[in-house]
Amino acid sequence: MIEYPIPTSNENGYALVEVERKDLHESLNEKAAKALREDESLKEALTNPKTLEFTKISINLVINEDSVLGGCGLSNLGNT
Amino acid sequence: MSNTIELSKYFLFNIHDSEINHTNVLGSKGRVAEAYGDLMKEMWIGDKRKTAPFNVKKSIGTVVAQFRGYNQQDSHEFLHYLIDTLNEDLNRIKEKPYVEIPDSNGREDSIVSKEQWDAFTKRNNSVLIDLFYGQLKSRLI
Repeated sequence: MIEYPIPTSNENGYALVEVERKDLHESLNEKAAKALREDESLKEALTNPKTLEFTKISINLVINEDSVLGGCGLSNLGNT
Repeated sequence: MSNTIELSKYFLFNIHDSEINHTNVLGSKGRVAEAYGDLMKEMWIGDKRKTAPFNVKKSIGTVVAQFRGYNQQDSHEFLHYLIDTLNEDLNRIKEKPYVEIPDSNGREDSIVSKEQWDAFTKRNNSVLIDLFYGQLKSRLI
């Protein structure tokens, strides 16, 4: 028998899980944006991607150093 | 694809936000680009040591029916659809013009290939084209 209202906890509420994922992405977006905002010289490269100048910006500006140490981002890079 | 650093930078630097083509009927209205961008951030910026690309798979399913559900599928086909849908989602051409492509009629390869490329790029212009696309000539003997 289903009980109403349906509890929206971590265990039972899919909607809540989605919200948590959204929060995660907002915080990741903010982290990346903050690092790039601080360097005015990058503006042109970031606003005009057709020039591919953004490919010359160091990825270290935004990545988590932990990833280099074995998180899921850079961990496979040595194997490629 | 994640280890194609140039493409990952494009998403990690949030450049895709300003280029998503929400009106292209050949794309996913930006769903795939957003999901792929989120996945790149989870992988590269997040502090978790693992992540599930569930939303990328789900978003591809919105444009390619065969990838809905959990049946086994061909991974190369998935890659093809992922790159193609990302290209359409990030296409800088908002209204694709009608382009007529004349036959080669024995003309030089250099002329024909330029004609083909120009026609193609009139309808397709995205970071995927910049980084991944090229031309290949084949001949049936």
